[in-house]
Amino acid sequence: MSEAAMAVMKPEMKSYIWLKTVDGSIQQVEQDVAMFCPMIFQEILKTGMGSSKTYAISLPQRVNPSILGLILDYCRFHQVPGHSNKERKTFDEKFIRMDTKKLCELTSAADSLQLKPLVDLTSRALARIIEGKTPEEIRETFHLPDDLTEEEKLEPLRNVTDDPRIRLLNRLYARKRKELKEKKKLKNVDIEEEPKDERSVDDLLSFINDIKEMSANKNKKKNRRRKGHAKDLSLENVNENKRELDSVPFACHNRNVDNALKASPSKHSQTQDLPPMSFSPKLEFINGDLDDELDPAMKEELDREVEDFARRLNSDWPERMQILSLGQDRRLVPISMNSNVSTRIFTGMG
Amino acid sequence: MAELSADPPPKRLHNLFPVAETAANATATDRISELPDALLIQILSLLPTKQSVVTGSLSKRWRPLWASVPILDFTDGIAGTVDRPERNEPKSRETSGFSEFVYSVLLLHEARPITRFRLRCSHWSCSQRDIATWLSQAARRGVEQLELSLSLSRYVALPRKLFNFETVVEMKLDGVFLNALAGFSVSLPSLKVLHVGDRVLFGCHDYVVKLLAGCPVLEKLVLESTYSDACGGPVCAQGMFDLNLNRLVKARIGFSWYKTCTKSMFLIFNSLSNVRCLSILSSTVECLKDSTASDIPVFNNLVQLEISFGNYSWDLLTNLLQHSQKLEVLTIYKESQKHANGHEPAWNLPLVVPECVLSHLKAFCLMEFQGLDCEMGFLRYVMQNARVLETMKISMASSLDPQTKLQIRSTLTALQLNIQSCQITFH
Repeated sequence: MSEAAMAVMKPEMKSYIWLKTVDGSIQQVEQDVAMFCPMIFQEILKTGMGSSKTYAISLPQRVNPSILGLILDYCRFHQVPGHSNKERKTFDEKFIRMDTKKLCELTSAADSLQLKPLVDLTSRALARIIEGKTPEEIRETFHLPDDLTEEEKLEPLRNVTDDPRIRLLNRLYARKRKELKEKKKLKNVDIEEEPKDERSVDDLLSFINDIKEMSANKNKKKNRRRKGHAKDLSLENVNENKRELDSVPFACHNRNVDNALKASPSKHSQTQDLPPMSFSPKLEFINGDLDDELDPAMKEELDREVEDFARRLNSDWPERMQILSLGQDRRLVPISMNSNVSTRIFTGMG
Repeated sequence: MAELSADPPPKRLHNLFPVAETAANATATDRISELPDALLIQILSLLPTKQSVVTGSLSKRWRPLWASVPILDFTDGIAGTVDRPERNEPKSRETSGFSEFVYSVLLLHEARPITRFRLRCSHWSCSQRDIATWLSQAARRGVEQLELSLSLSRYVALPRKLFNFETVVEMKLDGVFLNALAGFSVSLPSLKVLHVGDRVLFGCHDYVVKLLAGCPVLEKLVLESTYSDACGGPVCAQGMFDLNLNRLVKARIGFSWYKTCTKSMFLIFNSLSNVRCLSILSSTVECLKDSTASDIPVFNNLVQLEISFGNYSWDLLTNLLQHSQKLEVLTIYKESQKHANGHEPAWNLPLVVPECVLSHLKAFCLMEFQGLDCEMGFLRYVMQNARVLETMKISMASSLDPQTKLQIRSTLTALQLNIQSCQITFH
């Protein structure tokens, strides 16, 4: 141990440690209290700093003076061995009452000082604040930027509630995903890596996309037009699709989905990675399931609503895929110049 | 003196709820997103999965986080109240979507392994095949702590994978049928804590034995199921299992057996012989009360014993004391029983003072003391013979009137004078 550290460790008189916060201000703190923070403890042991004003320990950037005061209050109480568990709990409950902003700062500072008990305490408090709130309320409480698009917000998982269109699609999606996943498992028993999961979602989404494009493809003229616009930006292209869909009766989401699917492999040579044929019998099964559950009278209306919804989703498809992949910390999906939406997705991920 | 910078102490009392930012902080900054990912995930792991998924639609930063939380906690909000027959079927809105939600989460969720998986649902929210699928999936994802709370209104065939589960360390089951155990072997090599709640139907007592036989490193066992459901006695006697729970440290048994199932009962009871802490609930005591001294195993390590019974199991208590030589803490929960005066059972003095009473018993606690002769007899015996007793706590039954309470108190205080070292407290 260095001399400075030895000086700090003198048992006979109360020793003090000097701490410096990022704004340059320096404080003197009782040694027992300061050493309760693992980070400070390590610093003293390793470098011997903190024994005098000139050699004050520099605290991490996330610790500002007022937060440091709070942390030291916490340490001062808890480093005394005599308190009972009940006393500590009472102290903690009172201590944690502060506004959200300060709570976040405190969490951040405690984390940088490696003070785990305080981190756990503040995390629990933050969790309590988040619990039971809608996203709007949470955003308001924490001033989070509202930087997701409407479609992204309508992620299937988020809407567990009443909207029948979403429920219908969710049911479809969920079952398809499940089967896809099982298929993948059967095929590749050894390899269970992350890219697998990603692929299944992409497969599914582009497959669903296929359904919409299927109906559009019935019109050959549109096919040629699409190829002609190979150099266009994807978004424009998709908008075109959208327009096409507007004009074509959206037959595929009626009870003819299975028929549309059966026809798909012949029209889309580029979707060879997908085994669409094997999907159709399954989808038939699903459709049959849905039919059983839905009131036939409602189905017409639901079909129309599904059509609307799918159209809205479709317009933002590529952007959505990009963000999905970004969010899951993977390779970016380059928005390529291909005309075919589904192919783009495949080449991006493949 | 510590010199602190001149900030006034934060006004904590005013800020019980997140308040709107003051004019000074008009540029409201997003502080929470500055926290590192690991911390945000820690915060999310304290929330039920449904709420945690909701955070996925907050902002770009928050979008992928929920999928890395290693805890899955699904509850449909109805479970736990469903075994009451008068409860009406919930509206479809409450229950629809739960099943799809769980499937979606299981597919999109990425954290590996999942440290904790909890599922609480009723039979309105999902099909029994759904549950079996989810449990298999959880087993494949390396779950370490599993908690399952279902409804007994419907039979759910638990998957084989749930009982051949390499990674699970802690398992809690409630509201399930374990009849399926008939069909496959049980292998839970890492299971240290097993908690079988009071709404569990075994089908046959052999299955209890089978389940326990598959947990070689079990350290804590709670067996509260008191349903003495239809068990064919002959079947029970046929199971041949070697039950060796030598790592068991703590056990709490509330199970009840039919008279015809004594073989399995004693098999289980004997397997508890290594525990340090044992708690026997009244339903089990009721089954054991007619046992002889030779039926009770020797508890070599038993330090703490809790037992609750009525008035007819004093002999069992004596036998237990005789067989637990190192007992230090004894707690008795008397069940208040009404019986005709004069027919109270007597406390039979044992021939030999139990070793533990003589040299180990340090704390004795008697709850719901009614002042009956047998109880007083036991108390007197303990006070006279327990040489190292430090504390004795007597809690009087609330059914007693204040006069009787005072009387008992004075009698006991008089007794206490004989033993200076012991401290008696009354409640």
